[in-house]
Amino acid sequence: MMRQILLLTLVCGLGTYALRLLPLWWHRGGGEAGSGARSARVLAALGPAAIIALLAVSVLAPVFTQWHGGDPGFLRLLASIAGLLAAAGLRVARAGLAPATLAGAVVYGVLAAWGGVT
Amino acid sequence: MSAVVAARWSRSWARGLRASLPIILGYFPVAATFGMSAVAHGIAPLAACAVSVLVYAGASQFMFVALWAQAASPALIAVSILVSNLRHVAYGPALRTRLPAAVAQWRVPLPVLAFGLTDEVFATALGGLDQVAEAERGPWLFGLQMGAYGSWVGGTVLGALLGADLLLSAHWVSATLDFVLPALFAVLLVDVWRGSGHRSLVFAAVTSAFLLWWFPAAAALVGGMAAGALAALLRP
Repeated sequence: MMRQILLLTLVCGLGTYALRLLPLWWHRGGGEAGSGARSARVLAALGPAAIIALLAVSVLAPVFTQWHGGDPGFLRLLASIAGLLAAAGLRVARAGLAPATLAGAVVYGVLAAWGGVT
Repeated sequence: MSAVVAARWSRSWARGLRASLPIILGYFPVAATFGMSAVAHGIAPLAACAVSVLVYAGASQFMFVALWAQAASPALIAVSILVSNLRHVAYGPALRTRLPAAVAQWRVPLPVLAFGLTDEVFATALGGLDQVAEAERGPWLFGLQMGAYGSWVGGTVLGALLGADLLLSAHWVSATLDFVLPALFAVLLVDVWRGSGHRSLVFAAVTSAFLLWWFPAAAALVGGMAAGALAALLRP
């Protein structure tokens, strides 16, 4: 069984690595050569779109899970909004990446613990 | 590599490592939970650590454990992992435009940089690379990736060997650690907000939230990213 799981791990690892490496390798000539204005616009928009999609999914996934279980999860949502506002507000006020992130997480953590969010 | 270049390389690498601090804090408890969960589902601690070392893709590793515990076929497990990681194909081309064209200037081979392109590393690098001199971006990204990878593997080892309960005993601490990654994404969003098309961001957010209600998180992410990128093609 150990050999089987290690082999499967190797296959999944190599596959995931290929998904990361091949597109990077394909574009190694840089975004400027032969890519055209339209693909340049798509590539420029892709990164910010990924960040906001990651944000939406990471905040909403536990809320939706709770909702599907019969609990609207309002307390979790409120604590999340407070945490996000604290993190983003501090960053707008020119706080560093780590302090702003930590402050937002602590605001959420304290409110979630106080409100009994599990 | 001359002494001057080596010193500059080390300085850039260390800056990248420092920039990985929020990711380190976010990854460690999640990885510890993964290690504990894998062992609880009958996977040997060594094998659990091997999954983190070789696959290094958070959500899909939990899927790996869940499918393995349900005695799913190896082919099904492999296909599921790869489909859930498909979004990673977008990260290389999007980052490539921020890296210098000449590979030799990077001082870090491309295959090495590709290995560490996780969601959080990509998101942090997207804003961070613009603040680093072009010739120093390779070692900076490498430092960022090493901090994240070390945290992921270290957290898995701790969770697999000792159990994550020790780490997550206080509720407010576990809740805080749960929210480090969303807070990081909010901070990164502030960084990219001014230089981005707002219509593209709105499309990405609304689409991913809508899809998340019906589909797994990986599908919602891919849909949101695609909608945001395609919205950039619409005429103003």
